[in-house]
Amino acid sequence: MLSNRVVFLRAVFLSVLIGTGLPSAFAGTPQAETLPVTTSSPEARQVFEQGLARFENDLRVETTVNIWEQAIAKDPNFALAHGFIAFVSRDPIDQATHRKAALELSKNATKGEQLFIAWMADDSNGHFLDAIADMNQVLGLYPHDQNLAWFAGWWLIHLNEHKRAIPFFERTTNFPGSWNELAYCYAAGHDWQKTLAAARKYMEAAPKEANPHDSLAELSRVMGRFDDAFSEYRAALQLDPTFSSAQLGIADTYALTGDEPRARAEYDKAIKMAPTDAQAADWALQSANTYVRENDFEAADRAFRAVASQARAKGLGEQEAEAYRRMALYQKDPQAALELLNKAADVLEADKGMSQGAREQEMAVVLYARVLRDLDAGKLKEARASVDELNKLANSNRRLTILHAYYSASGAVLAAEGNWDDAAQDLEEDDRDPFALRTLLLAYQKLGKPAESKHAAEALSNLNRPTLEQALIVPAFRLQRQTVAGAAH
Amino acid sequence: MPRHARCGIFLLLIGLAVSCSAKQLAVVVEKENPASALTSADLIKILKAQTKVWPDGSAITIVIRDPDSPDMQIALDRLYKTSSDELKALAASHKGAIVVASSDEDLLHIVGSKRGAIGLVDVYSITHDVNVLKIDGRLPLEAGYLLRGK
Repeated sequence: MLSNRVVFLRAVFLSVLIGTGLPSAFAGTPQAETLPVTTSSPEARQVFEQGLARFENDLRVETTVNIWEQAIAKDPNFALAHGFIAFVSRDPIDQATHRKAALELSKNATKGEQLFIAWMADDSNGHFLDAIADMNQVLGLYPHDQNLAWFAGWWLIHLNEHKRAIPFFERTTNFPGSWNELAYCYAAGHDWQKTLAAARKYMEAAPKEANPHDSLAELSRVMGRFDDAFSEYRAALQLDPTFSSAQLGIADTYALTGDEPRARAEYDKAIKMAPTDAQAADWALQSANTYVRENDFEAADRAFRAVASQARAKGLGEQEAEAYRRMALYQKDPQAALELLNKAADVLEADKGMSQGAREQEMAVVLYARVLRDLDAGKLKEARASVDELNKLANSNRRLTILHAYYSASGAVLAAEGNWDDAAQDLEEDDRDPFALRTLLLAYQKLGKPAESKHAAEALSNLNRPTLEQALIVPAFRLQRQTVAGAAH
Repeated sequence: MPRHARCGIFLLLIGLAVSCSAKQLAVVVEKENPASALTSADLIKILKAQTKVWPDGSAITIVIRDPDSPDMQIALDRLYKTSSDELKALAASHKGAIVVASSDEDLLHIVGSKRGAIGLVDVYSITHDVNVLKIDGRLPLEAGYLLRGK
């Protein structure tokens, strides 16, 4: 829910020009402290501001887009409302439609609005250098605009630039949601004291909401504080029994603690609460991971095949392909793994409902898995060919997922070739991938870098992400470290 | 919502990277400079003040940050292949041709307003007042770009 305090703050922070935008000639010397909002309708403006407040507080995309669409219904020529929808929407068709409208309508808006819309359009077209320049220019014009600052932070997080995002959120802590963003940014930098302080501030700022507890639970889990995670997830569910991500969090946490039967029971509850079929299928995949954690690969095969079959029946190509990709990661027979990856690629190709961009992202992850399994089978030439394919993908679609898949795959191949220096540089790009971290640790050892080796070993050992990759690498690595430490004593 | 964001077929937990993200340096020139790309070999010659003029005859001014700054470590590792002290000595022996800017903003102002200037700047500081050059066929943030590091 939107707090009255936040609505009041919007009124203070947004200066509004109704009907008349500032002429471009004033671009270098803005007349307002904050980005002007050009609309012919005061009602549209008010609804638009409510949408901003909503998004900045809880990041609920669908609800926010809905609110901004109501603003556009009141003023169809509302360029900035179209621009914001294009910026935050997850639906590629929605993005394209609103981007086109925003760009056309921005001709009648102020220079600041034009720059904001250019920032959004350049981002969605993968022109990140132009997007950075747009962002810096509009922030330079309106350095005191809190909404712009908040969106700069939000955008930088999406580019994995948490450290750079921090100053923007620190300037906007009058929005309760900024504390949430700050908590995650500090966690990315391993500043646990600040992480917990920010998460608690978020809770104080929104005491009746479930999300602050859910966030604190997730961050506690990242830190390995599983008991705290359980109690905060339960507190979130107590405040809002329909808060499905907290139920999922409980299941994921049981999986990480090694109580797999309990994790499966909790996943079953989460699946029943899932808001969409796609999320239900995602969470069923999480449940199937638990058999891998138990080293029961036959049961895992059965569970993943069941999810694939259900996903196929519901037309969920991403989830069907993901089931095959995950199976490929733990197959003992590399040939069986490669056949599963072919199947995943076929499913992605055949899914006509998926946008090209989304398909390319999914394909990149499948190609990375192929590189790993080709290397396991000693097929260096084939692995190199997949890296070349990933390179082409990365140059046509610059999404972070693809770039990370490319660097991790390239690093794996370079390591297999004994080129440890270049391998380390590539593997450093994605420090959330256990496969890449494991190879990076080896590269540092080969390069004689003890401080970096220690850091990589600790990072890998402390990785508490509820993913299949974590299940395959991290528990075994922890055991190996304990054995080595025990032998040393 | 927590910072869970579904990114394709696997869960990307935004915000939970385990260490600081990589940095990238952009090679920037003033807007009127017709150059759009350089090889790393040519860039190294320019930055070491071995190449002193652009093909159109205009004098090159090299604008860098303090050689001891973290950003310049990438340039030291990947281009100069030398220590910060040696770079300081190079700058001292080429006063006027090599300028040390006090901030990214200062660097962009000098490069954007001085004909023939070329600078190395954190990619997240760039503005529309400068052009970014491709190095070995790649722009910053593209796969395989040279000037990146921790």
